[in-house]
Amino acid sequence: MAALDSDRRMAQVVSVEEVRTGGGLIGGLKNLAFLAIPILVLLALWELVARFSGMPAALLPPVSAIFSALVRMAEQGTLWIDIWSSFRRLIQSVFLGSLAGTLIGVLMGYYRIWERILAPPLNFLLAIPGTALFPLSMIWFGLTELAITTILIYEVALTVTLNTWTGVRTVDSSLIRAGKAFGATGPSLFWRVLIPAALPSMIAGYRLAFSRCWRILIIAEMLVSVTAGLGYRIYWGREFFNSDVVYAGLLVVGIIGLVMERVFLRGLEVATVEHWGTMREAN
Amino acid sequence: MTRLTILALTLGGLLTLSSASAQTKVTVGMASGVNQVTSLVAAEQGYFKEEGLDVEIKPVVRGVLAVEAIVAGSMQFAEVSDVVLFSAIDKGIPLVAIGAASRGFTGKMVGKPSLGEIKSLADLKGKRIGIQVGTGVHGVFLMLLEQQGLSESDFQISNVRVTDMPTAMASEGAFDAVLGWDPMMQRIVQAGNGMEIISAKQFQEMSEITYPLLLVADKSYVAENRSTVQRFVNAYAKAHKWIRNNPDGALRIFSNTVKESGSPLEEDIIKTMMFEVEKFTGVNFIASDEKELSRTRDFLRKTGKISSVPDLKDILDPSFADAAEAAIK
Repeated sequence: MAALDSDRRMAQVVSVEEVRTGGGLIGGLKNLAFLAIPILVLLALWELVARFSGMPAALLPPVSAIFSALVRMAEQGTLWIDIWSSFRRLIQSVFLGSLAGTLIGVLMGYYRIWERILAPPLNFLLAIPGTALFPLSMIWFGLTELAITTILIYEVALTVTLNTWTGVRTVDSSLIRAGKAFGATGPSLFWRVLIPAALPSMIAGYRLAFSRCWRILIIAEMLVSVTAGLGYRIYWGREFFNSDVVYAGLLVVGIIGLVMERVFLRGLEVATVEHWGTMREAN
Repeated sequence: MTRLTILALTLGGLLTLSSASAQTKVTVGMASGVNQVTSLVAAEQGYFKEEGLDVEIKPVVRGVLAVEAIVAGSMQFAEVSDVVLFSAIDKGIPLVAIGAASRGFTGKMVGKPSLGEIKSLADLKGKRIGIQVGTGVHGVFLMLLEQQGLSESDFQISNVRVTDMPTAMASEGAFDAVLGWDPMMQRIVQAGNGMEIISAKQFQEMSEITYPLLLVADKSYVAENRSTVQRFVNAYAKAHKWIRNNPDGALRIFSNTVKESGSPLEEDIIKTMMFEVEKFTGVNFIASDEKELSRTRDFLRKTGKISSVPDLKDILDPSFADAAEAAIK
């Protein structure tokens, strides 16, 4: 009887609301506790080891010193200037790189001839890490913003090109035939069938490009002499053995990266592909 | 010959061989630029070998990197500026200075020809200047600014690695001037991308410094290896004496090193770099060294770059250098 009961239960359609209700707040608090407690324990251990192990502060500053450095940088204003400088470079590079990458990717995905011409050099360039090109960009453009943004735009464009090309190329031909059957041709077929079908892959490309750009940007700010930026601040901190500034900078880089990913990029995904029904919602 | 004699001779030979091959291995972080001559001479003239040391000389672009290597245990000695020494000690790195690897300021400012004649630092107000932050050169620049009633905010200071300065000056509109040390500064001038606007000698006179480049090691290492440390400093003292007595020989050694780096410089330029100010006057600390170290320490404390004021007695150990200089008199 018990087995039949459980089979009957499984056969019933369970609504989304039914799945989500029950223990929401408590469940949320439990999840938060599971997340926060290990982190707090780790931080406490770090503080104790840093203070009492005899290790130089230059190697392992106490957690309290790292947070003090963060507060100090915030009060001095350098933290906000650095965040804004890094963010500005990121947005500029992602915008221009995504534009270029989308155009090239669509070209390659839609026209076989462009695919044949551009695929080999694209694959070659994908094998070279963007950070390896900084010595070259510094020779071409000197120690200027351009030396940073050219490489970032290049990296974003490559990533977006690849994903867009793949997305457009792999659109189900039955969708295209269906669109044509409904009278869509040329531009309307392109915008109303091809692009929406390729959108999940394209959005995935933008997310990936965004993350990669952020990581490379931090390195770029260390290599190319700029006057502000999170990578610059981390590098500057090292020069006076100010490890608290280095760790604080790394903490901010991680937090901003996480926030951008979870809020901005995920939001973009929800607002586009999930909203338009071209991707299954996450359970 | 009796069997006993043969055995004694064999044993004696084996002992000699084993002691000859048992040279103490150490690594030293050699400063970049013309200050590296001391270690180069000590190696080429065989002074390290004489002292029973097998020394690996590792060129290090700046003192911070050398200190990191000492902390990691991959280096035993390093040549660093006083700014780096105080910064490291302030952050809990237990270093001690055991002598002066060399002396004499090597920093110079190179600027775009469009700057025109520069009579003082005030003429550069508002200009974008590249400096490697955290170095001794940077420290001297800051002290000079204070002396002249100026501050960093009067300029647009950018942190530039000294090895990137030739690139920085090659681009139009990026930098108006850079403050670094030779041979990088000379490379900029030689490439036609800048002209010397303040020489090392001028800096030294304006700042009233002698700028000792300190030979440092970890405190525990020094305490546990006093014999090795003494022998190392002995080799440096001998190198200084040889340079003073053989300036042309020292010039040859350094010129060859510059040539081997792939970017040769004219010999006259190298000669100026080496002998513009007195650099190799002996490894022992002199009165002006202590005065200068106190001044730097107090300045770094005042500007918040360090949080405490260490007693010089705790961070200088003059015994090795004094003994080394006494031995070669």
